[in-house]
Amino acid sequence: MKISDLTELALRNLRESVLRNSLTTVGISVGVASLVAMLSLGTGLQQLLSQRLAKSGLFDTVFVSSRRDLRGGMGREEERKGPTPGESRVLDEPARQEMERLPNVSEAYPDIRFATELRYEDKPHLTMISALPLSAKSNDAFDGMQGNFFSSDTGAEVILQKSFAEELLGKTPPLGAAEPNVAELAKPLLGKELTMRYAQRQAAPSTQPSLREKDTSVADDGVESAAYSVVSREQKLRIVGVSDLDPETMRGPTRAKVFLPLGLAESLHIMQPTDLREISRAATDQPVYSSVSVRVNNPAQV
Amino acid sequence: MKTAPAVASARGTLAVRIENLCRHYRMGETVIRAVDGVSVEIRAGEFVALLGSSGSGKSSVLNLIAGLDRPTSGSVVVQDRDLAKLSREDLAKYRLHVVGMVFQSFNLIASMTLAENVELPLRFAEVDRSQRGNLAREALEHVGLRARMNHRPSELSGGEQQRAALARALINRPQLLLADEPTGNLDSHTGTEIMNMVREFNHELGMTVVMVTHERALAERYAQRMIFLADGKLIDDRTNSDRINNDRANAAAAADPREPGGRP
Repeated sequence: MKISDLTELALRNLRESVLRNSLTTVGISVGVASLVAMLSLGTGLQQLLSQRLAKSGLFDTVFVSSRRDLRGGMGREEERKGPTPGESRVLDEPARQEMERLPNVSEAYPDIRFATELRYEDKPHLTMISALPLSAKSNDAFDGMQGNFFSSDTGAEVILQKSFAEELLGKTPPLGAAEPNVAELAKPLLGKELTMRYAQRQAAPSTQPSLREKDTSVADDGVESAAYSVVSREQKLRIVGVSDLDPETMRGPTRAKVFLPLGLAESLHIMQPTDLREISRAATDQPVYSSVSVRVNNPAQV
Repeated sequence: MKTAPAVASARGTLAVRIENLCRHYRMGETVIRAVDGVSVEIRAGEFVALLGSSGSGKSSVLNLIAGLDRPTSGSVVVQDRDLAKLSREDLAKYRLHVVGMVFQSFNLIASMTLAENVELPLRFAEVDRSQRGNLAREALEHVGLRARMNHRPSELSGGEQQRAALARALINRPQLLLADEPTGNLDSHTGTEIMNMVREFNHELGMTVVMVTHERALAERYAQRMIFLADGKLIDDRTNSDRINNDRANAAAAADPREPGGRP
């Protein structure tokens, strides 16, 4: 049959029962649209979850801690083998650099985390602070952030998590109540200054002969004396961002609500729990890390 | 420009050859032998009636000859072509050009007028649009429905619908007219009208007619040959001497100028 005849007959049949054909068309359209919507929703959710999980560091980051850290041992077979904690290697800057040079490793950065006091409008707030590398900008917790990410690795800047912003403004909602909008919270805070009080570790002049002679406990057994001071310091920090989501969801109770640039945190020589354990190292300028986050290029290579 | 082919078979040559034809249907574990080893030859120009009770396999044989169904085994050879071996496209062409079919329930398209219904095979045959109208009009005139050509099937009586179906079956000038209980839905008077028309086509155009019926009287009156089927098997094949004698007498009368109505 000719195309013209086919078309003519098809149109004629469509005209023959307009209502039925219209209803059929609407039915098919609704059916197909529903199917497409459901598939799109499924695919979208899958992509969102994959993206979130990929950015969370759950699959591409290994947290490395030293065997010398006696907290939280899991008693696994691997931990029973090898050197004793005392003989184990210290997790310091050379160790971090060594990890960073491993194949497929994109970066290895120390976990600097401490609880301290922040003052805002002369009111003290105690909170957990964590240092973030610039690469954390890709973390999806900062996707919908109000303000900006750190301008540099050493800038005196700070990003607040929404719940801490609520605390600063005295707007912490009661349990079950609707949470305030992050944009509303950020508006009065962005660009404002916070004062961070922290404990700085300072190497003491332990090499002074007069001091060595007076220290009878260590002078005779050949062990080098080590000492450092802990000095209370203040650092002004400018609020550059307020994030709605929590970038440290996986951290549990030790998760921070305030974030500093990693370079700044390192330069401040903030007293860390490991400094109490590694006294001889803490007395120098060389930091010792409690843990190092090692990020790989491909999760399959972890 | 394509035109409808004319009926070309010479009387007496072999029109249809059926050899050991079987059509079995499987219903779960059971095999139903609708047609079971039927062999028959039909000559061009013959008027053959397939008789038998319900379920004897008459319509199945007719469908196999029409190329509407394929045999389980055996062969149906029409114009030296084994239908079982034809491709779907070739079978469609065979149905379009070689076969005309009339059904008990007319099978006219309700949304089309009679002219459009009759014109439909011409559309499939890709006959030029300008010719189609004339051919359809002529065909309807031939069956006495010229005045009803713009009516829809629902506006016609059963006899008129069957006449329109006949016009549609014959519009492409097929060599084989297959009729499946053509008078089944009609009263006896209208049935006679239709059968006279079929006999006329058989006579005038030399068209081979195969008609399925369970009315023996109808077959005896019109068919030259009667084939009896039972349980899918051919049980009898006999010529209808009364009809043949009548035909001869009519032919002689028509040739004699002294007879009323005879050719001068």
